Amino acid sequence: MISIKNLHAKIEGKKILKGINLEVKPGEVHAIMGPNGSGKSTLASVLTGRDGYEITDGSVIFENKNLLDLDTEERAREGIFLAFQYPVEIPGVSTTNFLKTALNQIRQHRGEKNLDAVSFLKLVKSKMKLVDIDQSLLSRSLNEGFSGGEKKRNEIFQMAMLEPKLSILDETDSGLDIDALRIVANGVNSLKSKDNASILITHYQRLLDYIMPDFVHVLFDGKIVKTGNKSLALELEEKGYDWIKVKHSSLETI
Amino acid sequence: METSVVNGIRDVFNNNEANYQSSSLAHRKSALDFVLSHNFPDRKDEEYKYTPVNQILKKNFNFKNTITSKTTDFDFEDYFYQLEGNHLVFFNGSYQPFQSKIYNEICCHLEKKSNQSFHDIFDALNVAFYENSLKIEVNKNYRSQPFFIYYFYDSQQGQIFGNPNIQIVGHPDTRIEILENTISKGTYPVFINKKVSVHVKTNAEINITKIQNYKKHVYQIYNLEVNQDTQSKFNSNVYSFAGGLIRNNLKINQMGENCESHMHGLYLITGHTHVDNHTAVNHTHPHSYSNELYKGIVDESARAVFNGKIFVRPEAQKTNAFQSNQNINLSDEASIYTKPQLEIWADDVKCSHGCTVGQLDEEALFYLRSRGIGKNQAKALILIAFSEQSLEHIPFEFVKKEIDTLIRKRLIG
Ligand SMILES: Nc1ncnc2c1ncn2[C@@H]1O[C@H](COP(=O)(O)OP(=O)(O)O)[C@@H](O)[C@H]1O
Ligand SMILES: [Mg+2]
Repeated sequence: MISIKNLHAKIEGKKILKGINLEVKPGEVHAIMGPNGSGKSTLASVLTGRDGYEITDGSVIFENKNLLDLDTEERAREGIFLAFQYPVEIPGVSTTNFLKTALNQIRQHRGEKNLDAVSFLKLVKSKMKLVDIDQSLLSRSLNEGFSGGEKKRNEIFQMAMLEPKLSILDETDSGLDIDALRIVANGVNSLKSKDNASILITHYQRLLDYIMPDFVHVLFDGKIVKTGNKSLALELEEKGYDWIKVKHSSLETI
Repeated sequence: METSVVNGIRDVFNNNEANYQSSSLAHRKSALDFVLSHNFPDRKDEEYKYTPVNQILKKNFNFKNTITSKTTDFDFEDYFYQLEGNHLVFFNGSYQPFQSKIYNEICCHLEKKSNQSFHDIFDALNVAFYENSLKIEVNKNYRSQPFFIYYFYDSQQGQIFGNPNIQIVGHPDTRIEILENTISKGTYPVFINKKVSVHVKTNAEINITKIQNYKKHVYQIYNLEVNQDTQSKFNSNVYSFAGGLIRNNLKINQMGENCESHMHGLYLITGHTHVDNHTAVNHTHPHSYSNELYKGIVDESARAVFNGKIFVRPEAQKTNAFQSNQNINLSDEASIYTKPQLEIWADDVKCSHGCTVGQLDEEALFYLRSRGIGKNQAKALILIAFSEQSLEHIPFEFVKKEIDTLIRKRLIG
């Protein structure tokens, strides 16, 4: 589905991604873990086409298309979705309000007909249940005065509405209590199919108790330094990141 | 004032003299003298620092070349809103009772006599030149329909100098709703110098909504002066979209306790449009309230000016006065000048003000695009949301829709 090769990226002249290689196939769940500042969010930003990043080397092929050639909205229409680590507030714009536009632009791109108001509302209602979100929240200004949990649930709700092929969840678990975490995880699990895939960016292995990853990668200093299965996450939980840091830094000094 | 301008203005006056009622000629002449012995304001005048009317007129308008035309191929009625109410027509600045469709005869009067006082050069210019004045007056126990005022200008044959004059009186316990729109034809410059005076009496309410979507060769000065008695309410909504020059002076004088004034505005401007809103509220009695919100989106080489004065006199205890001017600048060439001016002498008051000038929120834009929404559409969503707060106070639902459509058309194309 997505093939990232030797990806290098800079921001404000600073090298952040230093040769990422990652291959994700349909039906797979990949977890990317790593200490703060290692470049996880940067990877998510580069994959979704945020301004300000300079791609200095490498390639990203998504469903046979050169992803880096596409605008942010084109990537979304091709099926990439990012659940933001820090969802923005947009005064006066409600979730239902922009989601209808978004959904219809994606549908147009796929050559499907626009959804009318009634079918849209029906869809909203069915997806609301998935993440236990209230309709009143969806008609309020986006994220204004939302609690941390509400913001994250809203992100997953949008994911459910837009049915992406590849979803990238950037620290969706952080700041959630155990109940909210369970709701979010359930939402993600029920959206899982053999045709879509997800990349879970997370700091703790906690989320992985609820969402079973097929692969766990450790991102450190802009590179994936270790790949394994669920047990790697447990190992990280136990030992922390220091052993990776030490090991990797010593490699660099050799 | 420069001799050529003096001569130009004098000529216009002499050409019109026969139309003026002789009993008020002396008053008009004193107003004219006031005009001729002053200058149009320029950069040196604090109040017109960013709107140098003198230079703007000099460059774009010549009194010598103005024409007085009574005929036009305008079909006024075509422009009337399909609503019950009073449809009042002004043509090239003067009120046309016979072209109007009046529902509440008793409320609309025409006055030929010029006897109004004047405080500044534009006031005086209007008093010297207005052909007639429309007086809207609503009495108790009389429920009037809304007043739709259409200002038509036809500058197909030459330059037009128009001086609409309106007096509005809401007697105690009445409610008046007014909507103003301007329609013009022709490509010669039009200089509009409008004077509107409003008296909101005890427990009365007056709403004025103006739509200012002018052609680029239309230059307008609008003096709106409001006096409010005890427990009265006044609402002003002004929506500016285009024009060579739009200068709105709104002065509110609260003359009793428990007065309430609301001022809402939106300017959404591009090209070389120049919009300047100067407002002043004078709180003179206890328990008074004013609330002001002007929002602006300024693109290309447009220029926006906002100046909001709030005076709270020593007697005006327990006054609440709020003011906010928020701007989004979309272009490097655009300019925005905003200035709150609060002068507070009373000690037990609640006042707040805030002026902001910012860019479009790039984070919000990225967020929406990441959901599949095209760049322009995403921009429009954000800007429409920003604008819409200023539409909340329009008493006419259809106008809300019309302005909403205008905004969408402007932003999405
Ligand atoms: N806009 C920016 N300008 C400069 N440096 C940045 C910017 N954004 C992120 N960085 C730096 O890039 C590195 C990686 O950040 P990030 O991708 O957010 O890490 P993570 O998500 O893994 O915690 C950090 O050192 C951070 O300081
Ligand atoms: Mg991060």
